[in-house]
Formats: sequence, C-alpha cells, structure tokens
Amino acid sequence: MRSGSRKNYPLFFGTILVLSVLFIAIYGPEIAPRDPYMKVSLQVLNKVQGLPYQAPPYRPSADFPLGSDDLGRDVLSRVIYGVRYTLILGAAVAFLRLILAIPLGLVAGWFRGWLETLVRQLAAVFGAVPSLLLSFLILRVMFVPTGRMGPNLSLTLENSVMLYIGVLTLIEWPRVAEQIRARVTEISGQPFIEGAVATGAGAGRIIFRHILPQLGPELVVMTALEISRVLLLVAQLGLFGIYIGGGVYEEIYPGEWIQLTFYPELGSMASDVRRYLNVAPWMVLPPALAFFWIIGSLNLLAEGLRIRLQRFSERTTIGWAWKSLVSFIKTHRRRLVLAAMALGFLWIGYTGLAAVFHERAVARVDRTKGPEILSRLDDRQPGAEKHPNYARAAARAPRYRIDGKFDPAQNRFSGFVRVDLTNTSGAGWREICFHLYPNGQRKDSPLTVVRVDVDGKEVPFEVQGEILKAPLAKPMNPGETLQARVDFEVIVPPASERFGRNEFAAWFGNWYPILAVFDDRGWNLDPYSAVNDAFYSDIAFYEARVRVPGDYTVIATGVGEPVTVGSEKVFYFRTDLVRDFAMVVTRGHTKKSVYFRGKQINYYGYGKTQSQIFEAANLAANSLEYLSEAIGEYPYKELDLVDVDFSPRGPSGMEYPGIVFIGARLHPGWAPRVIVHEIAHQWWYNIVHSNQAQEPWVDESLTNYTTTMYFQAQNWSQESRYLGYMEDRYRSYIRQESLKKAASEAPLRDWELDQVVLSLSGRQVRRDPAPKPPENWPYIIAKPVYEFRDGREVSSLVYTKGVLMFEDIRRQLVAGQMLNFMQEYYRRYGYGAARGTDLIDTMVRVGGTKVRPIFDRWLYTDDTDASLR
Amino acid sequence: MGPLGSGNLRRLGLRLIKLLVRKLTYLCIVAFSVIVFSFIPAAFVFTRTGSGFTMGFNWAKYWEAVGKYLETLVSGSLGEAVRTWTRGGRPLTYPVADAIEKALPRSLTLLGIALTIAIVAGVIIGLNGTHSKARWYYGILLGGVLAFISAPDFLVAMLSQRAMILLQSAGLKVLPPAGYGELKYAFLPAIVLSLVPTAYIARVTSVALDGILHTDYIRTAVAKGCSERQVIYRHALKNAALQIIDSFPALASISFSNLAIVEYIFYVPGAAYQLMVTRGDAYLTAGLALCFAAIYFAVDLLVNILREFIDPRLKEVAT
Repeated sequence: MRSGSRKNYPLFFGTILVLSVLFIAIYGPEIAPRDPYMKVSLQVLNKVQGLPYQAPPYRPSADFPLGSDDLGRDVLSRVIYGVRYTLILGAAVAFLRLILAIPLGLVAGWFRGWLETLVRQLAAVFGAVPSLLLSFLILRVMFVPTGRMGPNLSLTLENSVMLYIGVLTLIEWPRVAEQIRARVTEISGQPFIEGAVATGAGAGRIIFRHILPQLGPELVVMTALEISRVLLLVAQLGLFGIYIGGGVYEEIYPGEWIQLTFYPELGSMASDVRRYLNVAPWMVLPPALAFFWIIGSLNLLAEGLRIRLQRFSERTTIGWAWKSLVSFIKTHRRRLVLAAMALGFLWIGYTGLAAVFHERAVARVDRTKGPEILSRLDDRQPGAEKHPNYARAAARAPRYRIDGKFDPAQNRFSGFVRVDLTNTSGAGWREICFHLYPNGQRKDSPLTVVRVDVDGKEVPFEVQGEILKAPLAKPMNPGETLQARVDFEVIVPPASERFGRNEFAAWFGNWYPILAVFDDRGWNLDPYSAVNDAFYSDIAFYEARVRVPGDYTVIATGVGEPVTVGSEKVFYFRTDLVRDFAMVVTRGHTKKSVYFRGKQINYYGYGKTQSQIFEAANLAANSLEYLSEAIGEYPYKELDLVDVDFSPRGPSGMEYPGIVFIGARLHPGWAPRVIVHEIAHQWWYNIVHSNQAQEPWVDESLTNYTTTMYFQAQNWSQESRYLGYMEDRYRSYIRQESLKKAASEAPLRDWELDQVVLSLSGRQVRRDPAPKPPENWPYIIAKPVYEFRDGREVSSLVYTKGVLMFEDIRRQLVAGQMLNFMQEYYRRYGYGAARGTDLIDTMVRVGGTKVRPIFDRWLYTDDTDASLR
Repeated sequence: MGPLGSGNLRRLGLRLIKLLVRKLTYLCIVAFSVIVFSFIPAAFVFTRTGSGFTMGFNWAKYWEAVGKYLETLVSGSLGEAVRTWTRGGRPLTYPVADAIEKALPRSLTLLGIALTIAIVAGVIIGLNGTHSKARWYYGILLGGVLAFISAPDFLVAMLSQRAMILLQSAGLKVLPPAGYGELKYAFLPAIVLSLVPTAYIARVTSVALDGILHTDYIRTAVAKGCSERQVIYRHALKNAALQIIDSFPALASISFSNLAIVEYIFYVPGAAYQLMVTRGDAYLTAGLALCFAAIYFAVDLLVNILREFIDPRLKEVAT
C-alpha cells in the first residue's frame, strides 16, 4: 500500500540517533566535563545565602551542569560515562542471547521434532514469569542485604558482572530461540527451499546457503531490538537496587548502611529514583532520559530497518551488504583463515616484541639518564647540614633504594628494596629484621616477600607475621657493612587507611619492608597497631625509581622528576635524611603550590574547590614558616600535602617525612588543625624520632601542643580557645568513662548506655566537677600504644591530656622558655631518637627541677583533678 | 449442520480438555521453577573469615527447604512468612495467604482499569492509524507508540507523579500523587500502567490490519464494492482480533513488570510491590510469584479458549 518512494523517516532518524549514542559511547570520556568518580563533599557558597557551605546533592550550576548526586559527583559526567558502560552491558547480553539462540533456533526450525517442542516449551516456561520478576528473584540474593549479614554480601566486581550478565542472558534466550525457530519454520515452507530440497541439498547446505542469508538481515533488526529490551530490563532492575557493583555498602552511622552507587552506570543511577525523585529531580531525570534516548533510537532504527526489509526484501542495503559479505567469505575462505592466522601471529609477536623493547627502553633510560637525574635532585634546604647531629647521622644512616613498578589495573606494586647498612650498635648481629607493616594492617597479607639477597647472594628468609627475618651466614660485627635486598610484591588494599586506594589514586604509607631499629632493647619488632601509630625506624637516605602508566603522577617524600618512556612514566626520587618513604600514585588530584623562602609547599586536593585547596596550601606554608622560625629550620625544600580517603573512624591525617596525608572528608572546621598537626610532626617524629609503639606521648603530645602553640601565636579567634576545649574534652571523657564503669556494675544494654552518655555529655558536664575515677581505670598517658583500648582513649589522653600537661608546664616557666626547650630538644636529639626521659631531662635543663613533679603527676598518675591552675 | 452441532461440540470439548491439560502442565513446570528460584537465597551460607565473609551454597539445606515448601503446598496452605524476630530469636509470622488476599485485589484493580483503557484506546488508535491516509497521523502514531515502548516505565511514572505534586502545590488537586485508598488513588497508577499496553495493542492492531488489508479476500471485498468502513469492521477486524487476543499473554507478562514499577513508585501496597520490596522471606516471595504465574496462565487459557470460538478457520476444520 505504501509505495517505495515514500521516505523512510524511522530509518533516517534512527540511524542518526544511534550514531549519536555511539559517538557518546566512544568519545564520552573525552567530552565529560568532570571525573565521574570525583566526590565534592562540600561546596562553598556565597556567604550572602546564609550558610557558607552546602552539602550534596547540589543543584545544577556552572560547576555541575546537571547538578550532582548525593555524594557530590557530577551527574552529567556520570551519564556520559554511563552511556558507554550500559551500552556495552546491553550489547554483551544481547549478543550472548543470540549466540545461544541462533544455532538452536536454526536446528529446531529445520529439523522440527522433539527439538522444536523443547524450544517451544522452554520459551513458554520462561515467558510465563515476567523477566523482571524472574531476574529479580535470582539476582536479589547477590545484591540485596539480608538481615544482619547485609553489608558483607558484596561480590567482587568481576563476579557480579558475570552473574548479572549470565542471569539476564539465561532468562530470555529461549524466547529469542523461539522467535528464530518460528521464522525458520516459516522460511522453510517457501518454494525456494522446496526447490533446494528437490535438488538434493543437505541440511547443512540449506541452512547455511538458503535460510541463513534470508534470516541475516532480520537478525540485525533482532539484535537492535534485543539490546533495547535488555536496557529496559537493566533500567527496571536498577530501580529496585539491583545493578553492577550494587553490593557495595557504606556504614554512615554505626548499624546504618547505605547502598552505594559506585560505577557510573545508568542502571545504578536509576536506583536513586524513588529516594531522590522529589528531593533532587536533577539526579534522576538525566539517567532516565538517557535510557529513553538509547532505547528509543535503537527501536527507531529497528523499525526503520523492518520497513526497509518489507519494502524491498532483496534489494535492501543490509541484505546486499550481508550477501556480498557472505559470498566474499565463501570464495576466499582459505585465504581469510591464513590471513587471520598470520595477523594473529603478527599481533602476538608485536605485543611480545613491544614489551621487550619497552623494557629495554626503560633500562636504557635508567642507565643513561637515571644517575644524572638522581645526582641533580637535591631536597636539602641550604644550611640543614649545620645541625650538630647531621654529619654523624649521615655517616651512619642506611641508604635505601626502592625500585619497582605500580600497575593500577592490578593494584600491585612489584619491585625491590635494597639497603646498604652499617652495624652502628655495640653488639654483633646474627640476623637482620624488617617490618612488613602492610601485613599488620591487613589480615590477608597483601605483601609477599619473593626473595632476599645479602651481599648479592640469595639467602633463606623467614616471615613471621609482619616481621621478615634474614639470618646472616656469619655474624655481623659492629662497624661492618652489608647490602641487603628484598624483592617483594604488594597489593594495595581497597582500604581507607594509611595504605590504601580509591578509584583514582593509591596512597603508599608504611608499605615496603623497612629495616627494624636495633638498640639496647635488641631488635624493635613492635607490631602494627590499629589504634594509633606504632612506627619506629632509623633515619636514612632514600633513592627511588617508580614506574607507573603515563596518565599517573607520583607524589612522594623528597624531590622527584619523571621521564616518559613510551606509555610509561618513570619517576626518580631522592631524599635527604628521612624516617620513611611514602608516596601517592594518582590521576585525580588538583595541585596548588606556594613558594616561600626557598621552600615549595604543594597541596594536592580533590573533592574541594580551587579556593579551598589554595587556602589549605597557604595555611600549610604559613605554619611551616612559623615552626621553622620557632623550633629550627625545616630541613627540606619540598613539602607535599595530599588528600586521601580516610574512613571516619580511621586517622584524620598521617605524617610522613616531606609528605603528609590529609583525610579528604574532614570537616572544614577541623581540617586546619589536622594540617598544622601533621606539619608539626615534621619536627617531632621525623627529625626528632621516638618509639611510637612504646611511648606514643613523646611525639604526639608534643606535636599537638606545638599545633596549639601555632594557633595561639596566630591569634585565631576560634582556635585560640582550643585549650579550653581540650580541658572540657578531657573532663567529659573522665565523666563518661566513670559512668560506663558505674553502668558496667548495673548492666545496661549498649544502646541505653550510649543514651546515658550522650545525654550527659555537653554543657552539663562542664558545670559539674569531674567525678573521681573508679579504681583500676588508669588515665595515665605514659603507656605503650597497645595498652590503649581504642582511638577515643588515645585521643583523650595522649592528644588532649598531654596538651594540658605541656600547658601546665608552660605556666610554671618564664615567657619564652617553652620555645627554648623546643629548640634545645631539637638540637640535642635531632636526627636521632629521644625517649620520654630525654624529653623530661631537657625540660628540666631549661626550666629547673620544679617541672619534674608536674610531668610525673600528668604522665604517670590518674589524678583526675589535674587541671590547669 | 451449525457450527455447534453435537459432533463439533464433542471435538471442541476434547480440544479444550487437551488445552487445559497442556496449560496445567506448563503451570506446574513454571511453578516448580519459581519455587526453585525463590529458595536460592535461603541456602547461601556465609562464614566469617578474617575481615570479610566467604560465600558458600548449602545444597542439602536448599533441597530440604524446597521439599518443606512443597509439603506445605500439598497440605493446602501457602505457609507462613516471617514479619520480624523477637529478641529471643523467635520468629513472629503471618500467613502468606492473608498477605496475598490483602494485596492482590489492589493489583488486580490497577490491572483491570489499565487493561480496559489499553484495549479500548489501543484498538481505536490502531484502527485509525491504518485507514487514515494522513501521513502525519501515521507518523505521530508510530512515534508515540515507539516512545511509549522505549521510555523506561519509571520515567513516565515519575514525571506524572511529579506533575501531580506540582499541580497540587499550585492548588489543583487533580489526582492523588501517591498512596492507596479509595478508587481515585488507583487512577493515576492505572493510567500510567495502561500506556505501554495501549501502545502495544495499537501497534499490534495496526500491523495486523496492514497485513490483512493486503490479502486476497479483502481485495475481493473491495472489488465487490464494500465501503472502507465495511471492509475494516466486517472483514478485517475479525481476523485482526485474533492477533490482538494472541498478544494478551505477552501483554500480561509486560504488565506485571510494569505493575511492579508503578506500585513501587506510587506506593501502592499491592502484590508486585510486596514481591519487590520483600527482601528476604522465601515463603512470601514464592507465594506471590506463584500467584503471578497462576494469573498469567489463567489469561493464557482464556485467550486460547476465546480463540476456539472466534477463529473462523478452527470452525471450518470442525465442520
């Protein structure tokens, strides 16, 4: 009825729309304005609007063209990335269905018989329950938390992808097979097939030469429809919280878990529909419209193709293309196979050769440019060597070389650490020991020692938990040197800890085999502690070579320089005398630098606005300068501050020499304290070291006091009230603890207890005098880190009571004597390790014997009346 | 002899019995597979290992649970679902049949209204689409049908809900945007629910008529001098009706999916809502899924029986 001259609009528009979808799917990552994973946890607003900060989801604005989602990620970018991932998902499922269905459909359609019955029955059975309900029944097991086990049900990504694709394929392929079977049966009734049968053609020949060419163009239509069908199902499942990566939960409050939408996939974005429809419509409309656009264009294309097929069943472009392709393949079958094999071999050879050549290029660069770069790099601040202990420390310091390659796809760093060391102790060594801190942080032992060499010879070694022991063939006498090399592999754990990673960065803190300290206690083998830091190491020189993919940057202790070799970047680093070597491998941080009197302070932030990052860098520069003036010159040229993911219950910041990790999700009012605290650690952890495991107060209390001192010197209106806050906090801790103790005698349920504590904390506590603590609940600071029950106890005692102690001492001293103490302490124990007694002795030298009882009272007694007088 | 003579009646009865047996067999297979799927979650065993959990599948426990459920079914009840656990770890239960009894009428009301709208509107739109010569009408029809088939259901649902909320905040209470109570609460979900079936039926009607209008007997009818109206309503529609009715089981299947979405977004505590929101309980899940399977087969059976009476070819074979 409709003539052939009529324009086929569906085909025209369908093709254009499908091309637009493909364009976004292919070039999306280049178009997307922002990183789809990047979370902006707080946004600075105009102060005119009242609140200075706003939490996500943000409304559409210049920063976020389509607004942001509930975690502060750009909706537009997520949709653009989502088109790619979701289309791949849909296509994979559709192709799998067709691959299963086509052979069965063809065979069943041609031979009929029991196969036909089987296909029809299968289709009837699977068709009876709607595919949404059926896939939901199976998939909900994997994705939906059940009861108390809930949050831990998450599968690995690979498993969940396989399961998702598998289930979506299996539940609908019988229907596709039935469709094809019906069509084949229809075709085989036609005269030209009867003719072929009459000529005596076999089944294979008829299927391949006569039925398949007839079916081919229709299969194209079917594929498009199938993809659109799968996508519709993906959208519907997403609405009910079933999507790839849907097993990831985060505990936002003890006992309260929310399902995270992690991957930028449209199905997962659809899961927000019901929660956010009326709160943040900008979050849910774009993904829904994207689904509409993709499914609609596929359906339109399929419709257009169908019309075209109906009109000229023979002369369609697709039919023609299909036929010529088939005939080409048939005539050149043998040559094609040979060519494919040749190409395959070439490809294998090429990739193999390319890898070999790449390795050789890296080695060549290392030979030629490496030494030159390393000799050029110098992190020493002019005048740093004037420190009285510098020369002696430099002469005895071990020299480390860390060398390896980080593979972000596997999250694996493999390489070696080589250390030249001298026995500077008075005793002979029968073995040398290394800490493997990653194996203490994680139960699953992410660090594997591959081999240990001493002086170039492989030796047997022994790994005891987080300690590596390499026995020496002959005892190493005092003054002797040796070279040890440990080849190791370490998997960066998916943790929000000192050593961890997120989607775009991996941060390496306490991550490699580091030499244990040998002193008069023997080898210090104190294990990793989850509560506070328990790291103790000798000061040393480091050289490092780190290989990463070209789009990554490495930020590390010391100063560095990259060389690009092919698709890789090779970073060289060299440090002055430092305690440790930490680094961050990233492709998602924004850098702001401040140059200040020969020092370079870099702040690498994410999830913050440019001005926030700049403000943080300025604060860092300011405090670094102040502390350099007050205590002694910062000995290095560079200081890096890097935002990393720390879990709310983990550390808020972590100090390493020349590089500092700052929790990216800190409250903006709290962040300045953390920044200054970690910078003060450059003096009271790095230059003047102490055994953090045995005497945590020596560095932490002093560092926190120094922080307070900086803010008071700056006369920050809020921060200078900090001492009062410390006092309140310490008292409320005592109050809560004694309440708990009282409650433990008359047992209450945990939550009731929390209620009591909650209702009693705050103002009421400040007015009441602190109650006497119960017996056997010592509030003493000076104890090993392992004696503290939890982070709260450490923060209330070491970080709070310790500050009050120093403040109490300051009030007994003459003005300026506190600074004199710090300078003296820094001068005497710099580039070495101090003990608590050393600190007290120094203070006594400066302030007289009257300070000793004050130390005793605060440190070793649980005298809770202790307060500032 | 008329089409319903005694011999015919016997043959018809025989065919109907055969049909019934076949459909019941299907129902049993489907019911069994639904039960098998529903009890998968209960059989996963999680053991704590260090920082996380490892997952295992306990086959013995699984078959035991399935067997127990089948026993319950045989004894004529749908079992008891767990509402909550007491502090002592004792389950507080309620009969699944009660839950279904409460929820199912709501779902059926929605479905009933929606399908009525869909059949009436769909057939009218489809018929007009065919015999109207206006190209723009055909274009709009095709576009509209494709749009409704392509739009994820929740897009339409959430847009209409949002529209109602905006209207209500502007002071116009047209239809309640969510919830369930009197009949007026059912209209908005039902209208949204009817969109896809309407598009579907319109499309089936239009395609069916398109095909039929090319056949010889229509050409004969036109040659006889029948008006277009006569041709369509007398000759073509009867044949098209067959194809429309044939599409009902598929339509039911699609509508169940959409029902879940519509109930979820409009907060209608119906059966599909229960099924999707019930996160753990295998008895409730299995009961509801069985319920849907039964409805599907009821529709399927009905369609097949209707066919027997409508299809002129079947009658010819019979006489």
